[in-house]
Amino acid sequence: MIKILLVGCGGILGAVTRYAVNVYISNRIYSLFPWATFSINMVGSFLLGLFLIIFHEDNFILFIGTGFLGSFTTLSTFSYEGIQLLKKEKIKLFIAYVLGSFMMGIIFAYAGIITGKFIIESFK
Amino acid sequence: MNKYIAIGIGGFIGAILRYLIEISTPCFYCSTMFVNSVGSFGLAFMTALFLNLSSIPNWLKISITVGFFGSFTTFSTFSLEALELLENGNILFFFFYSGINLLLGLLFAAIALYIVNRLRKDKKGNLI
Repeated sequence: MIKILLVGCGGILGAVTRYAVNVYISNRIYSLFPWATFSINMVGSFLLGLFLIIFHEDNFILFIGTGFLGSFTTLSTFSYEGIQLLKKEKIKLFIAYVLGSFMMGIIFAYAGIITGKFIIESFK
Repeated sequence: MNKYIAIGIGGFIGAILRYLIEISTPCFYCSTMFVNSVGSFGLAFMTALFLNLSSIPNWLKISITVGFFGSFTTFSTFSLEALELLENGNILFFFFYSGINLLLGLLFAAIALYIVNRLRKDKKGNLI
């Protein structure tokens, strides 16, 4: 039960933060490319890699990992925005968005892991 | 209702549902593929359905779309699991897994939009 609440509370924060960041970026960058969702997904992938290396406590991982970062990032919004680009016949932007999110997401996750390992080594 | 509270509630439910699905499936990767596909369909469907539907309050719309479906799916978990598959040399499953998450997500979103579009046409402008 505690586990469910931890995930849920992380989820509240993740969703609200995602919305706030989305509004913030959307109000400042005017582009057909979905920079808001893209940045959110990249930062989230990086942070998840980072946290999974540094922290091993189950409850913390449930709250920050599954809860917060799992909700902060979103693939449904990515899918919707991707299709919108297709509908607007922005094929190059569509390919850039899909391939970019895919490849950069993995790269950011890897960077997060490397950074985490570096931080752990620094504290030894 | 306050926007943020509405989104928070949706996020609460979405995250928990995603977690429950994760712990009830024997393989982690399966649950991610499932929530991301279903969630992509759901978000697109509800977003399109809610378009120009003034009878539903704004807070409820974003609670379901941004809150629930936004949190039900996850990109960070996908990135990490894809990376894990790559590092383990599981190239075939890496492409299959990535394809299901990304391509199926896009496909389901497109299908959802198509369905809502057809529903609108049938009802001659008035949705139920």
